[in-house]
Amino acid sequence: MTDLVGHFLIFTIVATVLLVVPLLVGRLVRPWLPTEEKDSIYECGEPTIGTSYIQFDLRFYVVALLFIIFDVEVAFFFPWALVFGGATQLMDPTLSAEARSGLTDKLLNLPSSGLAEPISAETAHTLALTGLCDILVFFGVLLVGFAYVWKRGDLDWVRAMVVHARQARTNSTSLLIPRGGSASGGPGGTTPRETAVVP
Amino acid sequence: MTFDQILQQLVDTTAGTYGPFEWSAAYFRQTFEIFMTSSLGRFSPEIILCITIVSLLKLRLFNCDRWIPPYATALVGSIVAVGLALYQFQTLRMSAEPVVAEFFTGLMIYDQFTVYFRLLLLIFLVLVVALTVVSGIPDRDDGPDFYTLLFGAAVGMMMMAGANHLLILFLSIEMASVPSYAMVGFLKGRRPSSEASLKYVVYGAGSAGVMLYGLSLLTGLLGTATLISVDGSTPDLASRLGLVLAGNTAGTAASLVSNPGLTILLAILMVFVGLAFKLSIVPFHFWCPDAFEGAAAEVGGFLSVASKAGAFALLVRFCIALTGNPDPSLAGLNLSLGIGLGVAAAVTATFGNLAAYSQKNMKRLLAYSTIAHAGYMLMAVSALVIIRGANPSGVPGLTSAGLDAEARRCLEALLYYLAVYLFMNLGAFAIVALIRNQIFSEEIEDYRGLAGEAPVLCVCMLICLFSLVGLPPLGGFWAKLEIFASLFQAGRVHWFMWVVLGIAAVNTVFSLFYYMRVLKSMFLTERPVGARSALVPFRSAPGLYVVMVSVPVLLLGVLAGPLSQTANNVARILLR
Repeated sequence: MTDLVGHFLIFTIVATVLLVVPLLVGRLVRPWLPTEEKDSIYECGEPTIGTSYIQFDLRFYVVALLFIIFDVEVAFFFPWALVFGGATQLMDPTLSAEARSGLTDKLLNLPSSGLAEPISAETAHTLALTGLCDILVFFGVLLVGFAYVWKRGDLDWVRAMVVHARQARTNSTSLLIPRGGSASGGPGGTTPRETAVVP
Repeated sequence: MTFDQILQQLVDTTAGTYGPFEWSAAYFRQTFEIFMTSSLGRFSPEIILCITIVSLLKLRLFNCDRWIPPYATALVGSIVAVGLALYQFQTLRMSAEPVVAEFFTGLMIYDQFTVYFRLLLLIFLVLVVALTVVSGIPDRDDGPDFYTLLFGAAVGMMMMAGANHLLILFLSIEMASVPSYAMVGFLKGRRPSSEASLKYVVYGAGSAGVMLYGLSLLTGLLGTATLISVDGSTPDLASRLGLVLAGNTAGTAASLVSNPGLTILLAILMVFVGLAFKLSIVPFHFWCPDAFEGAAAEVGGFLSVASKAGAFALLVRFCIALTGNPDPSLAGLNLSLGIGLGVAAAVTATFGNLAAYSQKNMKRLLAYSTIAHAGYMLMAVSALVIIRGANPSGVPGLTSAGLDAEARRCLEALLYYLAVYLFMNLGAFAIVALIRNQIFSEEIEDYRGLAGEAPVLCVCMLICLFSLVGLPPLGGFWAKLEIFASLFQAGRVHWFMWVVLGIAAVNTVFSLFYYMRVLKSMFLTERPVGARSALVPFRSAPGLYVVMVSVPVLLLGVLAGPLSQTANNVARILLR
């Protein structure tokens, strides 16, 4: 117990020292010649416009959320891939008993002792099939959700604009006016995107 | 269990068990019966709900919701699920020997208790969907979203009832919570609604974090996460608890800690924080009034009943797992657990009733009443823990068998209370929603003289509120009586339960006053001149709906026998 606390203590001290020392050295050594350019906020080489304490648009949040969903989904694929891979390897009926036992231990996450009953090729076949169906259902459900969100228009960058553009397009086609001639331009054009980002 | 067996338990596709295919009713019946004993079959009501969710989304995707309204899909899905759950319950009731089976490799458990709660929650789901049809929230455009959230939460709550693993405990709570947050904020563009939703999320996230910490401590210290092992093949909480507290900590992280008992107590306390949040037990109740006031009354009704029912099922499972070891060295832990729950219950009931007294908004009043009722129901659980932890030789006049019977009675009281509570609380919230549709207000002030214009709604409100108080001919009376009786019996084990009983009795009298204030406003005052009229005739959809919900409240008061007998059987198998 004291051992553990000691380690924590040492770790904390080392982390603090390693952080403080470079800052201190920098402060003592560096020349101090401020100019207006140097004091301005650095933003990827662009001149800054206004303050950076602005309210971010909610739409960024939607995109981030979607990213998280698919990110987590891929994370769920990894353990599945391990089991599925093991099962497909075991499906081979010509495997030697030794290899089968080794693969079984690996699949069941046991120390390679050879004590576990080896999984037969038929069982592995069922497992692989079940696994495939599982992942298809899992992925299918996610895709339905994704398609639903898409269909609802929650992914459109500026919802109202897109609806507007769509209506304009139907109007223009119904009036048999060439597309380029319609006043509102193509669907989801670049103008609304710019208005969205600038605070 | 070998790997083959696990796989077979899950899918059961071996041709041998099903027999060769033939086109006959007998074959299909047999196949169905075999399927229902596999893991997927035991999970089938939940799966039906999941399928309903996906179909709701798909129908909208292909623009079919113009012909098939979302509520119709939701109603069909929930009714099919009720049918399956009824089938499961009947099968369990009729089986010669009690069925208690683990499924999904022991992550979940299938017994009468699980299916009782499933049935309760599904019937409630059907009633809530019917209410949304009658009251018109959500509109057709938002329908798929709303029902998706509703069904998702319901699946989580049903999983709570069947959880047999600490991981599923956490997962199911989160699964029920996350859609609830969104549902509370469902009335878009309304400030109070969004605020309520945000408060709920923040509290929920905080308590979930604390609970997760507690769960990880518990799992690490005990070296197992299984609540109850049916065949004793895997170590469960009770057996490991006995070992660790006896000082035999080999193979667990408890060997690193100088005083594992204290740490375990802390871990249990942290898990209770998460559960108390879901149950809105003082001091984790702050979200409740705000969330209920901001949310639509339909959502409030759903959360107040379904999420409580699920959380109580989980609490009972957790408490039974903790008190499952008859080792006398654990008696101290059990006793302190029981008394702690008793104190929390008494404080919650008192606080809920006192705070409800000064409310002007009907939904807020019902929210505080919900808190108070959570307190009453928690009393039954505390009595259960006290009786389960008692040493038979230490209680004068009670044998071991007598103690078992009393423990059953406690659980029976809880199950009965939840069943009655389902109807009476849903009735109250439904009437609030239906009156809101007429007069656009939820203030008690604006309810003045409504009895003359909407007699059905007001009379049903009277039934529901009197039942919430616990007046004799109604279901709430029997429910309270059973809880008080079990508290009295638990008092023979430890005197503190008599104190709790006294507090509960005083609370019941006190609660009469604030419920009466609503009724007085409805029945005994004149409708002010110029107020919006709320003409709801008896023979209209809202009228028939509230009658349909109120009649069971009356019936359960007059005919308490069958349900309490069923509840007793459920308890007998759970506590075997």
